[in-house]
Amino acid sequence: MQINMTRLENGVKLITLDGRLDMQGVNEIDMKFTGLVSTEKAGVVVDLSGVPYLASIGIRSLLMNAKALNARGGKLVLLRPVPFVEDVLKTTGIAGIIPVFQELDAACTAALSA
Amino acid sequence: MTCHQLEIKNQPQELARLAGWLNWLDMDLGLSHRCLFRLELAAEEAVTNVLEYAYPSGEDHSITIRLCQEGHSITLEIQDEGQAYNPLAVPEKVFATTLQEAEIGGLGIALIRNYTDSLHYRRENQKNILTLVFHDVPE
Repeated sequence: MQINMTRLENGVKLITLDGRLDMQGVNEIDMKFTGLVSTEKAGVVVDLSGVPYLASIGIRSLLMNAKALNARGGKLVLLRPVPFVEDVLKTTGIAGIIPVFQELDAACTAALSA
Repeated sequence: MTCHQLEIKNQPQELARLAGWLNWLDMDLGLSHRCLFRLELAAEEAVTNVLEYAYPSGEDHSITIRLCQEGHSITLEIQDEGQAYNPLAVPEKVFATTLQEAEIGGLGIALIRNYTDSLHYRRENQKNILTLVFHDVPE
């Protein structure tokens, strides 16, 4: 499981996840993910296009970080989940509380709107 | 009907073995991508529940996973010898409408319910037996 962060010109932190977000994947990236997301108030876009599989433990990680960032006045949104992963986000009701976008521009606008 | 069986220990790293086993079996099962995804996710969530709830004192145990295929139907039986735990008795999750209200737990069972076509639990000979049934719709 890989995690990378790029700071975009508009100030958004673009975090790219690559690999399966299952128990093993979450164990590999969780500390770094939390460090990148929830330590400062910012707009955060999490690119999920490289994540083929999302288990409940992965959702937990997304949810906890989104909540922590929200408490600091920032906002986390999700970008381009593959269809199976998007289905998991809808099934668990997460898509209703963490916005999901297909386009980076729209995702950035939403992330900066907090 | 063709059946296969896997024994794993009640350790988190065994989930990777389960996923590997299901993907390896699929070379024979020939499931649709969608069905393999449902099977893998529901199986992993069910075993994760066993890891979290069945053995509060943390001792070593094995979990037996048996998969049977008949036509387009897949039946997965998960057996553990831990304390009685019926995931079907967990009330349906009510989804939060805001991030502040959202609770972290209860996601696994919501996924299991959604991704199986039927789900049964029984307690037999001091064992929890959870049966998950999937009907594959070829793509």
